[in-house]
Amino acid sequence: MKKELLDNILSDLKNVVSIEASAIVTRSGLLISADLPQNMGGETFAAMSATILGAAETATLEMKKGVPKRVIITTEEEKIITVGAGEKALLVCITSDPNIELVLEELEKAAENVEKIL
Amino acid sequence: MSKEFTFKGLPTAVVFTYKTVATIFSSIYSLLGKNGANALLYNAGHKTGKFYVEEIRKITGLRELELLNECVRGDFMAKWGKFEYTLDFDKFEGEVKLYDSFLAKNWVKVTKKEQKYPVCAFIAGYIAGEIESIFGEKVIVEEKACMALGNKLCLFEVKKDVFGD
Repeated sequence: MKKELLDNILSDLKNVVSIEASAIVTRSGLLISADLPQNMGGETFAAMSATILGAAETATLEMKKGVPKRVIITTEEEKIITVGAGEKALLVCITSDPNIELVLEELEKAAENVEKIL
Repeated sequence: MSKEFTFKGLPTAVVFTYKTVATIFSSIYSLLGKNGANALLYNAGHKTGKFYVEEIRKITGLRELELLNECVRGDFMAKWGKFEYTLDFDKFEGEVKLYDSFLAKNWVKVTKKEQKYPVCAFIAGYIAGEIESIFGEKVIVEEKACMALGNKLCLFEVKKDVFGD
């Protein structure tokens, strides 16, 4: 039941913004729901997303700057964006959408919905 | 001339002190935080568990429960601790007890810090990797009690998915 609702969040997100891949992951790196290309290893993607967000949290807390709202990794062609979705989960996506503000806005909304379900 | 230690033909082993192990793992937790470290270590443990089972299967030709027992015996001989599996093999749910975990049993003593959360994500992933490789079933393993927190043993819950439903 929860799984279906979470799957729907990812498909809804894909309908609004241009997203190549997305996943909902536990804070400890376990894949809950994913919409990924076939050549992408979901478990590794999930683990690394949680690890990167964890490392970012350590860095910002160490600098006494609070908890990061999101982590954005920019490559030449795309962005990998990871946002917290409550205490239990995080939401990560890969996008090449030029309207990054819209992507971030929609990601925040989706993350809030994930938090409500979990 | 020194003689290399091997177990059932596996490549050369090395020996770490408990202090070294706890230092390595506690450094990972310090750098990545609880969640980040758990994610990294669970994933690493998962791959390690699968690799170990594959090696033991190749050498012994054993399957399913006999293979699991052999892996448990190997873990015990290698001083990883004593694993006890209590699983419903129809649902692949249940628990695994680990006595004398090489990772957790001396954690507080060697890190000299009060521990606030379980530290055996590597072993949780290892158990998940072993079960997946032996029985072909994907499971989630979560640590519920940890010797690093003062419990007598480490207790791992095995379930089919994140929600347990």
